[in-house]
Amino acid sequence: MMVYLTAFALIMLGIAGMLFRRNLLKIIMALSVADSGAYLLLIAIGYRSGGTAPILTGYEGGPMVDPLPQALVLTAIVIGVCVLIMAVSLVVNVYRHYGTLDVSELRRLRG
Amino acid sequence: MSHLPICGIVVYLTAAFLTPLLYKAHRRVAEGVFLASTLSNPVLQTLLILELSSNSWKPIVYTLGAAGPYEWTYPIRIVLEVDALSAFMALIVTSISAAVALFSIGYMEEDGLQKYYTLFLLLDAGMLGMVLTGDLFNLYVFLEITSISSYALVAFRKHQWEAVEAGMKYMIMGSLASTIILVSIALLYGEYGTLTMAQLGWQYRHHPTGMARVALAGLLAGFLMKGGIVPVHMWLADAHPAAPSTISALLSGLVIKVGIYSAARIAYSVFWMGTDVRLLGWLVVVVGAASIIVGNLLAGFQRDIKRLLAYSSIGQVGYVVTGLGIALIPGVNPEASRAALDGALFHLLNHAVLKAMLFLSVGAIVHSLGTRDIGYMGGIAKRMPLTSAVVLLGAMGIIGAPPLNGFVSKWMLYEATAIFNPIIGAIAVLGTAFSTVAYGRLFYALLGRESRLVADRSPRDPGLWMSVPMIFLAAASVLFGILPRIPVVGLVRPARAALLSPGSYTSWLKVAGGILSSPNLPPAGQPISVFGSWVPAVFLLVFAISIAFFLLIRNLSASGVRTVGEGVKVFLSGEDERDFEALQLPGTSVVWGFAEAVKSLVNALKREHSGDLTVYLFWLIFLYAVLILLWGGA
Amino acid sequence: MTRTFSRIVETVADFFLIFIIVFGIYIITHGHLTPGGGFQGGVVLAAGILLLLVAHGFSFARKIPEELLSDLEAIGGIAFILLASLGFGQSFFYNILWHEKLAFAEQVGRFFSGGAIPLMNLSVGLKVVAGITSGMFALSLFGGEES
Repeated sequence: MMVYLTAFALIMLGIAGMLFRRNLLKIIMALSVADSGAYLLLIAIGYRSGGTAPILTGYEGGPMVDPLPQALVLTAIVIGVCVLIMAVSLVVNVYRHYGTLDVSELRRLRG
Repeated sequence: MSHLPICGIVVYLTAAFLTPLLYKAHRRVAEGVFLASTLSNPVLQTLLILELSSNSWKPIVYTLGAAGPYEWTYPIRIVLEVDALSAFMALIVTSISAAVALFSIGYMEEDGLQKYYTLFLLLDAGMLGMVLTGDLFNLYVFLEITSISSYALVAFRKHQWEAVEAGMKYMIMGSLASTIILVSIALLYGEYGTLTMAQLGWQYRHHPTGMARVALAGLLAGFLMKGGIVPVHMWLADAHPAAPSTISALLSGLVIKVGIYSAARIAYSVFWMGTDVRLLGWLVVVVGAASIIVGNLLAGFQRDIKRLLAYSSIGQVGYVVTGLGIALIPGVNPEASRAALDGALFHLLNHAVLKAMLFLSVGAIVHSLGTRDIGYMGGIAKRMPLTSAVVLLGAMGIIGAPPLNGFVSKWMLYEATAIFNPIIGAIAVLGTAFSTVAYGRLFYALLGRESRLVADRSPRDPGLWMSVPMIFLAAASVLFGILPRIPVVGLVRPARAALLSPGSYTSWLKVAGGILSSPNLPPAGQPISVFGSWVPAVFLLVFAISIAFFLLIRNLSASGVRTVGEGVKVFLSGEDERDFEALQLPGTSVVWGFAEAVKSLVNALKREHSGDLTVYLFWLIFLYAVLILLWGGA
Repeated sequence: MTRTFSRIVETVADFFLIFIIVFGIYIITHGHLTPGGGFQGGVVLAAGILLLLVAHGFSFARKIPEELLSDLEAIGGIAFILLASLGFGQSFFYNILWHEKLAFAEQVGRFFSGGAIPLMNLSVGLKVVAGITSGMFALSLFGGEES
C-alpha cells in the first residue's frame, strides 16, 4: 500500500513541478521525477507477496515476482533517458538563443 | 505464415541504421537506400491489404519470436495484429512518406543530412509500428520512437530560435503526455495482467472495472494531445511551422493522424463493448467540435502561411475526431454512425493527402522566396504556375469544394452530424465557412498583384524531384474526388466495419469455459495478493482528490496572474505586447467584414494562445482531470 | 577560465577506468544469467567514459572523433537487426540459434546459453555506449565553447 502511495506521490510531485516551476532545467527534472514515479508504480504492480527474484538459476521453489513489469520498466527507462538527453541538448540550444532559462521568456511564438 | 506485417518496419529500421555508414561513403548511396526503403514500403503495404482482403478481412496476427501466439497455453509474446483499419492506416503512412521522401531529396540542401535521413526513417518506422501493433506496451514504445524523432526533426534547424523554441515546447508537452500514457498502461496491466489489446478487450468486456476506466481516461488524454485536439493543441501551431517543410508535411499529415488512430483503436477495440460510453462519446464530440471552431477560425488570422496551414490541420483533425465520437455513442441512428465513421476515416486519408500536398508546395514557395509572410507573396502564380496550382488545388480540397476528395469526406460528415445533432451539424458547416476565409486570403495573395519581393527574387518552379510528388498527390486527390468509390468501398468501408466489430478483433483468442487462458489473470473481482491491498477504489479516490486539488489551484489563480515565483508578475506586462485590439488585416483585405464580425472571439482566443509553456501543460492536466472525474468513476 | 582537476584526480580516474570497463562488460555479457544486459552495461561503460571526461576537462571530448562513435552506433544497430532476422523462417525475433542448437546453446544457466540473446546484448551495449558517449561529448563541446 505504501509503495503505491509513494509511486503516486512521485507522479503527482513531478507533474506539480512541471506546472509550477519556471526554470527549464527544473521542469525537465520534474519530468524525470514523474517518470520515476511511473516506473515505481509498474514494478510495485508486479510484486507478489513472499516472492523471490525471477532468476531461473539457483531457484528453489516458492512464488516468484512477476518479471514482465521489470522488462517494461527497463524499456521505459531507456526511453526516459533518450528523452532526457534530447531535452538537455535542446535546453542548451535555448540558452544560446535566448540567454535565459526562464520558461516565461520563451514566448516569441504566440497567437 | 506470412511475414508481411513486420517487413515494412524491418525495412525502415535497417535503412535507418545503415544510413550513417553509407552517408560517409557517398551521399548519393545513402539517398538511394533512403529512397529504396521509402518507396518499397507502399508496395509491401499494398500486398498486405491484398492478402487481408483475400481472407475476408480477418485480422492477421503475427507473433514476434514464435510461429503463433499460442506456442504455450497462453499468449505471452508481442503480437502484431493487422486488421482492415491498421492496413488502411499503414498504406496512408507509407505512401505519403514515400512522396515526402522523394520531395526532400530535392528540397533539403544542408550539410549533415545523414541525421535528417536517419530521423526520417525512424519516424516512419515508429508510425508504421504504431498502426500495425496489437500490444499496448509495444504501442507505447513505437509512440515514443515517433515522438522523439519528431521532436528532433522539429528542432532540426538549430540555428533558428523558432525551431528551438517550438521543439522545446513540443517536447515538454509530449513527454508529459507520454508519461500519462505510461501510467495508464501500468494501471491496465495491474488490473488485468495482460498487455495484448485483444486480450484486454475480452477481459474488459467480461470484467469491467473502474480502474480500467481511469486508465482509458489517461490513454485518451495522452493520445488526443498527440493528435492535436483542443484544448491541448497549442504545441501544434508552434511546432509545425518551425519544422522543415517536408517534416511539416509528415507531422501534419501523418503523425497527428496516427495519434488519433491510437485513441480510436483503444476506445473501440479495447473499451467499446464493455461499458456505457455515452458520456465519453459526447466528450469526444465536444472536443472535436471545439477543435473545428478554434482551428479553422484562427487559421484565417495568421500572416505566417505555415502557421495558417497548422491551425487548419487542427480544424480538420477536429472533423475526424467528431466523426469518431459520434460513432462511439450507442443509440445513435445507425445510418449516422456509419456515415460518421466512413466520413471520419475517409477524411483522415484525404486530409493526409491534401495537407502533405499543401505543405510541400508551400515549402517550395517559401524556399524560393525566403519568407513565410503571406503579405509578401503576391503574384506568385504567374512565376510558379505548377506550384501555385497545387497550392490552390489543396486549398480547394480542404475547403471541401467538389470535385476534390475533401468534398466527399466532408459531405459524409455533414450528413452524419446533421442527423446526430443540429448544433454539431451547424458547427461542422461553420468550420468550412471559416476555412474558406483562411484559404480565400491565400487565393487572393497568390493570384493578386505581384509584390516587390516576388519581382526581385523571380522564383521559378522547382525541379523534377520536387514536382513529381506534388503532381502525384494532386492527382490522387482529384482521383479520390471524382471516383470516391475506389477508396471508400475498397478501403474505408472494411476499415469502418473492422473498427465497429471488436468481436473480430478478439476472434483469434482461445477461450475455454468462459475463462481466457492467460498467465496472470486474477479471479474476477479478487485483488491480487500484493501486500493484500491492491484495492483500486482507494487508489482511485486518492487520485481523484489530488486531481481535484490541482483543478482548484488552477481555478483559484485568476487567469493572467501568477502567484508563484518571484513576486507577482502580471501576465501582459513587462514586454512589448503586440496590440491585440488591432486585427492583423488591413482595411483593404477582402475578408475584412467577416473579420470585424468575429473580432472579439478571435482576440479572446489569441490571448489564450499566450505562448507560455506552463499554460499549455495546465491544459493537458486539465483535460486529464476532466476525463477522469467525469468518466472514470467506478 | 579553464579549470581542470589536479593530477591526483586525473590519475585516480584513469586507474579506475579499467575496473569500470570490466564491470560494464561483465554486466553486458552476463545479461542472460544475472540482472543486467545490453542497456545497463552500456550505461555503466558510458559512465566510465564520462568519468574520464569530467576528470580531464572538455579537451578530452575532442580526442575521440565523432564519426567513429556514429559508425559504432550504426554497427550495433545493424547487428541487432541481423540477429533478429536470422530466424525469419519462423518469425521475426525467433531465437533460431537456441532452438536449432547452432551457437550459444548449452544448458540453461551456463554462460554460452541463450542463443541470440547474449549477442543481442553485445550489440545493444555497443550502441548504447556509442550513443550516450556521443551525446555527452556534444553537450560538453557546447559548454567548452562558452568557457
